[in-house]
Amino acid sequence: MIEIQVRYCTAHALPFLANSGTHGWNTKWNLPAHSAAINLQLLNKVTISPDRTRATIQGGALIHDVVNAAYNASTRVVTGNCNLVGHLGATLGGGYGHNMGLMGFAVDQLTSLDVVLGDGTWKRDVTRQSDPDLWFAMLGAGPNFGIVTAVTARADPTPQSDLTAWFGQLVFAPEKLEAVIEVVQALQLTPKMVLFIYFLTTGPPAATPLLLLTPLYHGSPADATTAFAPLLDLGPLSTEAAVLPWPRWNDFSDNPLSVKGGFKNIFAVGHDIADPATYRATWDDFVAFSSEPTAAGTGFVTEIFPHVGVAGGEEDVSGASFANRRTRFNSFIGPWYTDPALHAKAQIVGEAVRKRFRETGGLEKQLT
Amino acid sequence: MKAMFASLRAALFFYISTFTMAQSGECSGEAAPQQNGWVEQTVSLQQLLAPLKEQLSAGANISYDPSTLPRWSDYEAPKPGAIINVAVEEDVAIAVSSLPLLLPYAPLGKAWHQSIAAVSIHPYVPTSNHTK
Repeated sequence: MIEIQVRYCTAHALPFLANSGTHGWNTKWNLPAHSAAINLQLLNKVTISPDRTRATIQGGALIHDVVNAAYNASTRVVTGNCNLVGHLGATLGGGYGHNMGLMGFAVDQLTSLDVVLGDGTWKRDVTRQSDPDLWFAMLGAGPNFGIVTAVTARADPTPQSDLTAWFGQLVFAPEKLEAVIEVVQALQLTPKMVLFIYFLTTGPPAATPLLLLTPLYHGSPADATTAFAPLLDLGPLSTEAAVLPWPRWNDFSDNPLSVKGGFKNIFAVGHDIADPATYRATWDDFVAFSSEPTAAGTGFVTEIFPHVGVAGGEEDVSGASFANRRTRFNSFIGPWYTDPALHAKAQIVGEAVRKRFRETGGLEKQLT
Repeated sequence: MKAMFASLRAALFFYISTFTMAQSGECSGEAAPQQNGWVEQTVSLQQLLAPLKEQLSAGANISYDPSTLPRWSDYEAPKPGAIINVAVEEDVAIAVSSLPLLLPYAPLGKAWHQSIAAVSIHPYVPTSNHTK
């Protein structure tokens, strides 16, 4: 039936775009009005195998769909950190997240996929063995080669009592930024550790700038505070911490970062060195831009994940095209505003921040 | 630019002339005079996608209201004219089969149709650059 439809329908040419979470921040779509979106959001089923070692995830499943299904089945999978983002959009681009220190990148968990290619061919159960070239292309550059309707991914059976983590919110005085960054640069994350650095504001009307760090630890509070002692010893203005079940780990990034709408012109950059002067200059840019009317939602984020086991360890990852495996720090500045008059200023700030990190980040080849 | 389009059109016609010349007759709307075997018709997205809707599963639908699919960022966001809400995985294959390619020089709101092969010459290649 599909083959017949291919023959019939190629007479009607329209460019199209597949959507799941609609969070992609690409700005080079080149999609005319005479075009269509294929919205996958109703394809959000997540099925855990009876032995809890496999998760079958449809193409439109959001990250919280996957987290909730896996948690309820007492098994662990690798997902991204924002609940409303499409799981496969993040996964096919590499997919880092809170569980990657324990299991690896999300893209490396895939064991098979179903994909609709550009000519309408629906290939089922594609594996590295069955279609090595297509497999290589999809795992790292998937959105350019087809629409994935479902994947099967590895899952690690884990009791719910162990699917918890210590999560902290440490607010530091802005004057301590350089000291914080020096500690971050020296801190070697173990597989159980994750650390985010945020520049945020308190929101309108005051929009007071905040320097916030959110450490996460897969273990007890005692072990967590030992692991992050160098940060805690710097004396945060406030420290809040709690042991949270897995479905709550993404609460912080959900609100306000996942909120839809407004202009968010994102500039991302990978770097291996966290340079205090670079962060200070970025802080100054952030403070200036976020003080603009309608721009209080602006943020800067550095995401730091452990590299132990991440690059595949004993596993052979050469079958995947995803190459950005060794970036120590993944940062982005997100000017967020609603006044179009700020477009030009946002562009200038974003480019300046990215250029600065590239110059001091210690990477010979840019990885973003 | 006009000359380029004319050249492309001529090349396209030369190419498709080796294929079946039968009119598909699927698009409705106002038809312009025939030009070198081409029939230019002004068609709306609704007209263009009406046959597709009949092929999708019962739970699927097509919306022409972009507010039904808000994006995380409105900054240079894509603004598709139609949103195909698929309900089963096979719908994706059907939809892609219906929308695989683009005549990049076709004027907005118009589609050239003549044979199945006519649109298989210039694949639409979206520019993707996550790092800008």
